[in-house]
Amino acid sequence: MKVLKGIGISDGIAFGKLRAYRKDFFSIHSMRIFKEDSESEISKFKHAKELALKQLDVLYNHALKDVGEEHAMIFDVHKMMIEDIDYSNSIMNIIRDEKANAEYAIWLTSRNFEKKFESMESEYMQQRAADVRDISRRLINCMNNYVQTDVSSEKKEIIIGCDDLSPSELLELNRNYVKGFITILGSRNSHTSILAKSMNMPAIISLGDQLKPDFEGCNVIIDSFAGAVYVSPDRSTIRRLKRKKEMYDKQQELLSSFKGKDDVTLDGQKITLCANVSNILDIEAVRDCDASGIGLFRSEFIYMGKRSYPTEEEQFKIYKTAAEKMSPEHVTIRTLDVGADKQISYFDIPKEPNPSMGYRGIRVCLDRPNIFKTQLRAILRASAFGNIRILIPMISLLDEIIRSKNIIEECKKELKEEGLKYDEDIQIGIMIETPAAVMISDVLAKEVDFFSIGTNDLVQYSLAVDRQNDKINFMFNPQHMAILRMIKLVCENAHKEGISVGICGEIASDDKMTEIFLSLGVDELSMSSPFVLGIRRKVRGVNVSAIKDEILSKL
Amino acid sequence: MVTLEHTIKNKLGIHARPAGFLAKFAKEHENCTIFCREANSSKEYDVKNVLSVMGAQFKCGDDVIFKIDSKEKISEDLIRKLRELLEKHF
Repeated sequence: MKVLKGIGISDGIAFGKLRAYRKDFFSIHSMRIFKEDSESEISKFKHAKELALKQLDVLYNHALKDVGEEHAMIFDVHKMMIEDIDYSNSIMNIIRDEKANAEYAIWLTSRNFEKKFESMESEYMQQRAADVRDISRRLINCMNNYVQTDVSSEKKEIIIGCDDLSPSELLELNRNYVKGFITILGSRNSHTSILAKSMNMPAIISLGDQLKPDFEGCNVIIDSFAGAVYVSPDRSTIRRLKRKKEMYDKQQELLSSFKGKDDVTLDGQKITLCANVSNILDIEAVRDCDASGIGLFRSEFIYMGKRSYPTEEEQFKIYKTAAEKMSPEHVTIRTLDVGADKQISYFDIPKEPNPSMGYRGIRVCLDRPNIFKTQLRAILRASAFGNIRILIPMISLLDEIIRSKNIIEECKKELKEEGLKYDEDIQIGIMIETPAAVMISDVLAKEVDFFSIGTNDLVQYSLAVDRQNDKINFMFNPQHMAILRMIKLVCENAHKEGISVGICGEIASDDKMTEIFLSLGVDELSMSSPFVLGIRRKVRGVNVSAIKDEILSKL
Repeated sequence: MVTLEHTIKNKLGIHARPAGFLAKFAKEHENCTIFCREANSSKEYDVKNVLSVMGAQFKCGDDVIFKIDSKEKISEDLIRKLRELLEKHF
C-alpha cells in the first residue's frame, strides 16, 4: 500500500480502480520523434482536428442542456481556438521544419501560446492559457484515440488520475461510474475545484510527483477529509475507510433528516439559518442544504477574474437568476467589497502600505459612483424577480449610509423614468465590521433595515490582529470577550429600533457559539452551505431560557 | 482597399467570442483579407487568427481600424455586413 498526500476537494470518500484520463500532457515534450514522413503527421493532425471539432459540437449541445449556456460557452470558444490559423500553421511548420511528430508539434505550439497569454496583464487573458492547454490536449487525445473516450464508456467504478483536469473535462465525465479524481496539479480555488464541489465529487489535487503512471489499474481509495489517496490499500485500511464512509454517509443522512424542519429552539425561539455564496453555482448547494435564504452574496467575485468591469446587463442576469432560484427566500447582495485582500487589476488601486485600513469597500464605491451605480441598477432591476436585499460593506460613518441611500434613490428614479421594474421597498442593510460602527450602532440602526456583523474584519480591527499574518494567527480569536460584548451591544441597539441582526463571518458555523448567539438574540446566521444542517440540528436541541442568564452574566 | 474605423464598446474588449465571430466572417469571405489594428499603432493582425486578435488586447474605448484588402472589387454588401458585425459584438 502507498499513501499519497494532497489537497482534499469536496467532502467524501470514494473507492475505485485508478484509470489514467489521458496521456500525460506534461511528458509529451520528451516524446519527440524524428519523422521522415511529415505529410502523414500533418494529415494525422488534420484528422484529429476534425474529430476534436465534432466532439466539441456534441459537448456544447450536451452542456447546454446540463449546465446552461454560461458554462457551455467554453466549448464554443474552444472550437474557434482550434480553428485559429496561426495555431494550426505553427503546428504544421514544426512538423515540416523540425521533422517532429504531431504530438510534439502540438505540445510546443501550446507552450508558446500559453506563455504569451500567461505574460499578459489582465487576469481574463491569463486564464486563456488554460484554454489553449485544454484544446491542445484534446487534439493529442483525438490523435491517440486515448482513454478519454474509453472513460465515458467504462462500466465499473473508477477514479480518474491525471496531471490536471479542466472544467470542460470534468463536465464530460460519466458520473455513474467516475467516483472521484486525483491530479498532479490544481489549486483549491480553481474553477475545476469549485465545480467538483458543486457536483459533490471528491478529489485529491496537487499530488505532485507522488502520482506515478504505474498506479494505473490499481485499486485506490480517496479520502478528501484527510487529503489522502491510498493506492492498493491493505485490508485494514479498506475496512477503516469503509467504516469512515459509512459513518459519513450516515451523518449526511441524519443531517438530511433535518431538511424541511424549522430553525427553532426547544423553547420556541426562532433564528434564520442562511448560506453564503460567491457565485451562481453555489446556489444549488444552498437549495440542497435547505437554507432559509442567502445571507451573504459576495458580489466582488463577479468582478474578479475579469478583464474589465462587468456590465449592468451581465450583473442583472446573475442577480436575477439568484433571486429567481431562491424565491421566496431572500438573497442578500453585498455590494462590491474590493480592496484589502481582494485586489482587482483593472480597478488600478495603487499599492497601499496598509490596504485593510485603506481604500476599500464602500470607500471605493462612493469615490467612483459610476461603478457603484452600475451595480445598484443591476441589483434593483433584479429585485423585481424575487426577494433581494442590499448590504453595504465597510461602514464606519453615518454619512456613508446617507450618501449610499441617496445614490440608491437616484438609481430608483432613473429606472422609474426608463419604465424598468424594481422592488420599491427593497431592504437596505449594512455590514457591522468596524469597531466604530459597533459603537454608533444605535445611530446607524435608525437609518437601515438590518445589520449583518462581519466577524472576520471586526476581529481583525478590534483585536489589532492582521488576518494575513501567520506569526500572530493564534491571536485571531472571534470568541474574545471584546467581540462577544460588541455583538451584544449591536443586538441591543438593533432590537431597540426593531431591526434584525445577522452574523456572516466564519464564526456563524461554529456550533460551540450557537448557544451564545441564541442567548444574545441574533436573528440570522449565514455560513457556508455544508454547515447549515449541522447548525440546525444544534439549534433544535437548545433550550435558550435555561442557559441564557448564565451566558449573559459572563459577558 | 477599404477601411472602417470602430470604437470598441464591448466592456470586455475584443475577447474570445467577438474574435471568433470575426474569424468566422473572414473565412466566409475568402476573396479578401481583413486586418485590424489600433488607430495609433501600425501593428496589424489578420482577423482569421482568433488567438492573435485576442492577444492584441483591444480594450473598451479603443479605436480600431479594420482594413479589407482584395484584388477584386470590394462589394458594398460586404462592407455593410462587416459594419453590422462590429456594431453587434464589438
